[in-house]
Amino acid sequence: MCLAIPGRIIEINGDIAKIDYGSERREGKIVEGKYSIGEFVIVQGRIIIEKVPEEQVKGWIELIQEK
Amino acid sequence: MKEEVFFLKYAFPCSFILLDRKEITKEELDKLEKAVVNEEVLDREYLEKIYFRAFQKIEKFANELKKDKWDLEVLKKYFIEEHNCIINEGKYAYAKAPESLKNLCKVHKAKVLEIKDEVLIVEYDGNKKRPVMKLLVPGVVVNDIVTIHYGYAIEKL
Repeated sequence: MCLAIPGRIIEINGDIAKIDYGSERREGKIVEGKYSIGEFVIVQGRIIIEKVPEEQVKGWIELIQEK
Repeated sequence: MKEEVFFLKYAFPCSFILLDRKEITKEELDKLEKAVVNEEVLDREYLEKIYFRAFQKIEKFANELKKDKWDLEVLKKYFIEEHNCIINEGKYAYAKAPESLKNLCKVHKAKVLEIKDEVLIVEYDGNKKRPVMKLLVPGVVVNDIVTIHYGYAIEKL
C-alpha cells in the first residue's frame, strides 16, 4: 500500500494523473494547480493535494517508513 | 461534540500513514472512515492504541495543563495550537521532517474559495491554496472558514 508517501507523475490524461510509487501505480485527480510529468505529489482521498520538491522525497519516505 | 468524535476528525487524515506503516489494515481504515463520517463514538482504548503517537503528545500536554487527556478543551487546544507548535519546534519525529510534510501535518485555518463536487479549494497562510476533501464538512459554502489537516477539511469554525 502506498498512500502516504510521494509518488511520481508518469502520465496525465485530462485531469487524471497516473502516479508511480515504485511498487505500484495509482491514479490521482488534479483539481487545483498545474502539474507536469516527473513531479512528485501526495495523493489523499483520490485527489492530488500537494507537490513535493524532489529533494524532499527521501525525507518523506524515511520518516513515514520509520517504525 | 463527543470527545472521541472530535479526536477522530482531527486524527483521521493520519490514518493513511498508519496504513503505509502497516500498523492498521485497509479494512480498519475503511471502518475508521465510516466512523468519522457518521460521527460514531469509538472505544477510547482502541483510539489510544491506533493513534499512540498522538496520545503520547496529548498526554504530556494534558499533564502540563493538569487535566485529563480526554478533556475536550485539551483536545481542542492540542489540535488547534499545540500540535503546530510541536511541528514548528521540530520535536519528536518532526526533527527530520521535510517542509512539505510539516506543512501538510499542521492544522491550518482556511477559507473556502470554491467547491468542486466532493472537493473544496481552500486558501490558508496568506495565499497558499490546497484542494481538500469535503467529506467531513458536507454543509460548507464558499467563504466559510474551516480547519484543514492533510487532505481533509476537518470542521467549520
